[in-house]
Amino acid sequence: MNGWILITGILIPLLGALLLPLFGKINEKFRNAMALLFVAAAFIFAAIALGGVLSGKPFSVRFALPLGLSFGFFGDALAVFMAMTASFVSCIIVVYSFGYIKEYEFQNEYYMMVCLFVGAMMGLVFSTNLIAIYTCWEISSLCCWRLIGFYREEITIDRANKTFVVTVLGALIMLIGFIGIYGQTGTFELTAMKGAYIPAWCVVLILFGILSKSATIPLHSWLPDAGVAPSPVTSLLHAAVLVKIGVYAYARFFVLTFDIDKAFTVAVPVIAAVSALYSAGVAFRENDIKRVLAYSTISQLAFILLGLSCGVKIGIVGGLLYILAHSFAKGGLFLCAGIVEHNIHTKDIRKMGGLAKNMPVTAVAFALCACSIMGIPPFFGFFTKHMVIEGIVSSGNAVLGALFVICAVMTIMYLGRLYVKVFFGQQTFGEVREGTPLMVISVLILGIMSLLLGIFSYLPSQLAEMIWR
Amino acid sequence: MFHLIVEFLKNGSNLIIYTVALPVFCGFLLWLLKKQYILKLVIAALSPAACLVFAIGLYFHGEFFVRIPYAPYEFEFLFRSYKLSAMLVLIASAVFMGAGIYTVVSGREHRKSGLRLFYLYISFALLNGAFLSDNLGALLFFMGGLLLPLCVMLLTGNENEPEIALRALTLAGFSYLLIMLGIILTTHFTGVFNISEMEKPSINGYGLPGFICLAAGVLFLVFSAVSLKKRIKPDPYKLLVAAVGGFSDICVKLEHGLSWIYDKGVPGVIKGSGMALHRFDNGRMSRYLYLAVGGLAFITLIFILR
Repeated sequence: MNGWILITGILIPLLGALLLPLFGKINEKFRNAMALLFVAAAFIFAAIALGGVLSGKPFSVRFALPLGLSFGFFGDALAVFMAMTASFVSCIIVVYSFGYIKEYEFQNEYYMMVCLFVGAMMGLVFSTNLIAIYTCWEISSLCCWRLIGFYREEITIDRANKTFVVTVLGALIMLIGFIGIYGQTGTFELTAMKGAYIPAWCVVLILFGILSKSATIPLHSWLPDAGVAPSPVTSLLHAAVLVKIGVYAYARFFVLTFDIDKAFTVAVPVIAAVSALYSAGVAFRENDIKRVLAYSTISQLAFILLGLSCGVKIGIVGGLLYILAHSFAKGGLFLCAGIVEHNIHTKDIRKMGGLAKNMPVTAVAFALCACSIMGIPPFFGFFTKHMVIEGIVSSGNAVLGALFVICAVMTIMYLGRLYVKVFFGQQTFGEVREGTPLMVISVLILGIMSLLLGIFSYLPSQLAEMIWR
Repeated sequence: MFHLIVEFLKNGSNLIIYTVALPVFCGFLLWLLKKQYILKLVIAALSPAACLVFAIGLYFHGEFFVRIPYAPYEFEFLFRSYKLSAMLVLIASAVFMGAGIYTVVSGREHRKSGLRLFYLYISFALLNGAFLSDNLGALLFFMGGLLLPLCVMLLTGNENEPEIALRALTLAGFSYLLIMLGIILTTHFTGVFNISEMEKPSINGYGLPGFICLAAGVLFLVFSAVSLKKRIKPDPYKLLVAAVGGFSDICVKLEHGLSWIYDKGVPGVIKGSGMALHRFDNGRMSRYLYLAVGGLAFITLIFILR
């Protein structure tokens, strides 16, 4: 019976999304309210599933299919953790969208795709069947394609196509890996494969899909280009949900389920180190506010991947908590960038300056989120960064630990430069106002959450420990 | 009286509540109070004065430990009161009492004096926390936390020259991260997490990498602090920016190449192949179909053979 809570949490946003265009024809405000309700429902049901995790009886349901196949949903600690994180940030993004999207065409499709996207994410995290995971993965790519091309200009369509091709190609290669696993184990059910050793070629194929989704070098090129999308979309895709699908899949497959070759605990951190350093280097020279944040996302995702792949408990717990810290902080940064861009109609930081005078709340929210990404105490990012670096050092790779510290220094440098250039110095725009109250409140919530999660960091760390157990 | 005070501080989390949380709370009150000058003066003096009294009590009392249970995984908020920590808290209290009163008096007409006072008292709280920390992680937490008030105070004081704050953030951030690495290496290689257990630190063999990072971090911090006030050569900030900038230039060049492959190279190859196939095929759709089915059959064959 409890398993139906998971199914309801998936189906409400998935099916609700299909109704939203209809609601939009009736009344726009009603459609907006329903979109928020559908996304909030995903969060509420995930929060209910947390009860099951805490009581030691995770919710689950399984359906038998012909030919001995089956599919099921399982609300373990990792699934609930990811579902709650993604749906909470998505709720904030939907609220923010009320102010941001109201001037544009295709709003019905926008809200529909956002809800569908959240539903696909819920399906992906709760599914225990590889084919169901693949299906949800592809639904998310489809939503991503439509959302990035939201403005319907030639450049946005090109960039949307690029994202679609890279992520779908990655997923197709991953699918071959899944088929390989089926050939090895005779099942697509993850719960039946716990501890199963899978050959290195399957791991490589699945990793290709994961790295393409989590925008790790050299499959990262779509992420900065996708910055042409509206800011709530970039926040949803780049920070909260899409890129986290990749790292979630890594945690689910290679940390909690399969037994893989030990060589990957060295190979993946090395890929992560290259990705982190390279993207931080590019971010330092970029002048487009959203591209700086996009490269920063690639760099920070490498920290998450590092933590999850180092094979040491503290690193894995740190990597999981990093997902939460990054979702809130980077989500907030993208939304702040949206407020700035919405008001001054440029993304070039060389043309900005002195915005803190007219946009004090946005400036404060940006600073709070940036501090978390930089890893400054008492923000949540401090604990996660510390844990991840400690994890890699504990695994015996002190040199990689040092490389990630260099990357952390570069994070401070490019985010500091971005903040000072945008919000301080000579004021270049005359009449600039704050965003709408809903937009400003949204970013402030994310900023404050980044601080509060740091102060009360023992609470999420307990959940992350449960995932490990 | 001092004995009673120390007994009170030893109880539960009182030591941290009254030396760390109280200054933060007072700072927050000072920020909220806009015009009440006398009240501001009283509050500005109150929290350091209380800490001063506590520090005297702690100094004359023997060593004791306090553990705060609300720490995240693998972190331990363990605090130790002994002569040196009490002495440092005492000095900080005296300095911050003077600084607090001075800021209230001198910033009477200044619009941002409330904000400055808030961050000044946060710095005071963080310093107290750092002095009392016994666990290296906790020490790093309080020490790194000083970055934020440092930058905010520099930004509010130099609104037209924000580069000063950026410079301080970069240099102090670099030192802080070096110290972080030093602490991680030290705890990893020596297996010791608390300062009280490091009476005779080993700086040879396993302890050496951590020691080098810690020493480099502290020295760089001192060097950077001097360079903020006095232009010295070589300028550490310029060196750091040049090093990162050089690396960034290489990355940007590589990125252009990689983007070209994605945006022009691969689509060009696909388009070219398509055009070649089109000419070869002379427009007959059935051949495309045969090709696709043949490809699928080949893939299926591979899996059946496995």
